[in-house]
Amino acid sequence: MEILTVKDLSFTYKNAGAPALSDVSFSVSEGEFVTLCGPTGCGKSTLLRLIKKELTPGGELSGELLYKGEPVKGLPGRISAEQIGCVVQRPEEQIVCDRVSGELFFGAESLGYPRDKAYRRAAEVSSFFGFNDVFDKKTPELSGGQKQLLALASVLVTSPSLILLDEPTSRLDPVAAADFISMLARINRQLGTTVIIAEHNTSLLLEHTDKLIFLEDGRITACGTPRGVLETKPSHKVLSDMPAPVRMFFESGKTGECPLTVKEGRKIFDGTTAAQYRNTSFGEKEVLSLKNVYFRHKRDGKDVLKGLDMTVYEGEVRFVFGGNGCGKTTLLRCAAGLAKHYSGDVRVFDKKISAYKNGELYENKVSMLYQDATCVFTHETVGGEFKGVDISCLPYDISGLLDRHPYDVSGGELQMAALCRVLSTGPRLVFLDEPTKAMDAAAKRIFVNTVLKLKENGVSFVISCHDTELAAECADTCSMMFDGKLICTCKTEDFLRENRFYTTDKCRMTGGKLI
Amino acid sequence: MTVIENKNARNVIRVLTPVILTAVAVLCALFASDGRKYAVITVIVTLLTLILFLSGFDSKRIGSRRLVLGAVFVTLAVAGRFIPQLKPLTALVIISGMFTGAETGFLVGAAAVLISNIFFGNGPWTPLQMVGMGLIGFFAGVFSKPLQKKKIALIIYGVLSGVFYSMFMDIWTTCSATGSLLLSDYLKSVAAALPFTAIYSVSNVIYLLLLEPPFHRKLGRIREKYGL
Amino acid sequence: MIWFKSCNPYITLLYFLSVTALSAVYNNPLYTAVTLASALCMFIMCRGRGKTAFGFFMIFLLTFIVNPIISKKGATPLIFIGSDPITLEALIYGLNSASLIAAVLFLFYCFTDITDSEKLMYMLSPFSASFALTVSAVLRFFPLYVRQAEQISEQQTAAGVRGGGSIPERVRYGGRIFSALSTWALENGIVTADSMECRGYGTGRRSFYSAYGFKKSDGVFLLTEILLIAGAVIPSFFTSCTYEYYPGLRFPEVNALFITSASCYALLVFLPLIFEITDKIKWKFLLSKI
Repeated sequence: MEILTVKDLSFTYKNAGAPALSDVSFSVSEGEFVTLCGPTGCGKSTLLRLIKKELTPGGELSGELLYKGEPVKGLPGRISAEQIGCVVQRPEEQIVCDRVSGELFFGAESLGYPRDKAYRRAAEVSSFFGFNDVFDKKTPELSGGQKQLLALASVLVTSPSLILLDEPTSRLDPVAAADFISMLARINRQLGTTVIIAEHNTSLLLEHTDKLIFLEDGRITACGTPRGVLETKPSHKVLSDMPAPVRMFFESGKTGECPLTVKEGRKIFDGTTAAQYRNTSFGEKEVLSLKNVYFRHKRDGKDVLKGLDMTVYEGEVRFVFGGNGCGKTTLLRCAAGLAKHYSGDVRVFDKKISAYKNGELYENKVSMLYQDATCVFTHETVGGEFKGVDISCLPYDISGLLDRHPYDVSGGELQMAALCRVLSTGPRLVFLDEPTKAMDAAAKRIFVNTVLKLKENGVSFVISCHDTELAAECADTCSMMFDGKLICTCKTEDFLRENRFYTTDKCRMTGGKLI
Repeated sequence: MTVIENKNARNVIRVLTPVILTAVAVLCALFASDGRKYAVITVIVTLLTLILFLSGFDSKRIGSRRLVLGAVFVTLAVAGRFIPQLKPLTALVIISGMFTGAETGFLVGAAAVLISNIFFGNGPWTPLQMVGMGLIGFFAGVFSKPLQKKKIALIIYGVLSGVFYSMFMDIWTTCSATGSLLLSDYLKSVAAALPFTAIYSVSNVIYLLLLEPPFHRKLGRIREKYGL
Repeated sequence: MIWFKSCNPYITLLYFLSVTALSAVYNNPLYTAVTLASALCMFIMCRGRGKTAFGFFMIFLLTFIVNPIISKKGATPLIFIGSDPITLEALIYGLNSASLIAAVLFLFYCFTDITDSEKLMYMLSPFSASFALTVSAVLRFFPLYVRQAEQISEQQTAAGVRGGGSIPERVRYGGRIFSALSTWALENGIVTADSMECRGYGTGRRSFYSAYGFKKSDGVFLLTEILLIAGAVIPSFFTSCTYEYYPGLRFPEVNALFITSASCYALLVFLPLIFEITDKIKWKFLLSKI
């Protein structure tokens, strides 16, 4: 049975010229796993918001949008709340209560379920997700991955028949993202819940997907089963959202059935390709050195950095990998002089970091970009941050963003604008904390080019990241952080070849010949 | 406790609690011939007012956005109290009342006091402070139109709310210090608190003038972007 | 206070309210002393690491000193400061007030310590679900905001914005951080509100499920509590239990009724401690049996 029917749907935002969606038609059967993909701003989120009545933005709508044969707009609030669940990008903001238990009960409480029913549902969901140990915990104590799982769990308490997810894994590390997607696939398979997920990185999703829909500028450019869509070579834009095996397959010009997973890809690529690595070289002058550095947040707290050593040279692009919460951000903050280590030696440009006074370090030597790009913007327009800066000298063209409010700019663009802002002081050593989290493939390309261009001019980078493909494209050296120390540091190709988990799919498929 | 689960029982509680509390208040007044009865009575009466006020709001449903915006204001107000030399609590309560309505204003005022007292020390004076601050937020919502339009109205309201809150809390000061609530004692403590009242009112006005324009713009943007 | 922490929140509320109210009403040094003793015991049992009662002691001292200096009432002057007498009565009254205030502060400290956000929600919910929800949301937001404010400030430093220097400069910088924090908070608040709306907030009457049961020992405590309150209050209808300070100190007549009231009050005040110790012994006994 069709659970969702979309026919000739067009939508234009209030005060916007171009439509966000035009003539979109597709249908979803009960129990299907639907993946919506496309570059940032293609209308994925808008489409999801239109399906969930409570989130429908203001604007002009035409065409048909039916849930189980009923127009979505006319659905009673109760039905929509109970049967259509929704999980959005950032887990932090969708959690309402300060306890896990309260959060799980929230839906049931709002719908006025009797106590027995609410408890049974919450108990079931809690056991299914393995939340029994954290049931009484406070929500801020959970990790990012757990928070996102909690958001999904709290939606499931009312047993919805359709779940909508808007880029739920874009803020998670790869391990947590894989956990989340496999849980979602399990829900789809075991409970028969229909899933519609919007995501621009499909590598985790493709194997579970029944229907792949590709949106571009508000129009559907491809729709069907993954194999069906990939029978012929898709357009460049579609391809950039596909997982590594698919991309490699079409780039290498091979024929036959397109591989969807690493396992399938290995059969085609292993042993057939010749080794080929990017040239990675950099200067010999030390710009940053940490020796035996210790750090903890509180006197009675635990050590986050435990005798860490690190040396970065001029023009080096260093990536730091490690699980969530292993202290990568703290390492960056300590090295940039923003957090004070209690023991050890941090030297920047051959001078003790404490010898720099009154922020002279940040005038034109060192700069850092935090994970949350919105922290950069304290004015009401993006341009407010760039007063007295020559816009044309920046590595990325932000002239179109200057008059806009930072929160109206898409995640990828804002990230690039924030990067421009921290680079505008002309630093020689730049620290970036997960800079590509909200970026799609096109934005990542621009990011890589920016980094490589500055590297040529002798700027050094220390980048904490989860994205191994990004490292393959622009890192000179990579480090692995564990237990408060950098346990190994080596050239990117050696790093990726030796690793089994922290490596790229390309590397896995070719046995390390390509990275 | 079983009373909470059952809808009828809950309603009974809601009706009975104020009644019982009033009875207790009257009882206290009856048997206590001397001492601090006024302090006790003041606390009980304000607690009653508070309960009546708050339970009245539920029937008049506050939308989720207003409620969360209210919570945002409370958090900002409480967090603001931690910045040294910066106490924008009253100003933020007034602003929240102005832009999110009278009910939310009361809620924000009462909750801001309750929660900041978790960090700064709750006491028998908490209900009194809650009602006082709640009323400031409530009336800011009632007079939201002139307050939003005219700077002068804002200045007057800032001064009045400072004077009101200070005088309102002097009731407690008098009760707890002298054990009774004589008009002469009350006026004495109002007079004694005059310098503080003046500083408080002036700082209120300054914070309002500093914070109102940016919040006006920010909330206007939110209103336009998401609809409120 | 393991037992007292685990019992039903309404019972603890009743205890704290009745003890503070009664000690304030009687205003009797004997009652005050008993309250202070119990409050101190509970404070010592509750207080976390590194917390001292220094602030409370200062308030105690201040109240103690201020009253005799201000108050001109009383029949027995002890010494004269200039032409102003400091009377014995005012001194005793000040001591009583100071002890009473210290006791109340200790009691409320314990109350705050015992009543976590969950219990607060539980107690507020029957009266106002929206108020309870607001409190819960604030408690969830608060740590987030503190972290975000720190991050914004550090990010600004890292991007070369200077915060230090003269006072106006610092105020401007602080305002800038606060403004950025507010924008972020309002924007995210909408997402939170949408998430509530998506899960059916406002579609009908909210129900509230709580994790607090009503144990047998809670019932025993409640019953004893009510009986003791009655025992402390009812005798005072027939005899005076209040201490008179002015013009001269006068202790109420010690008769059977007064003794009943006083001992009931003393038992009431120490009731949580008695239950706590009984519970401890019971557990020792339970464990020794295993």
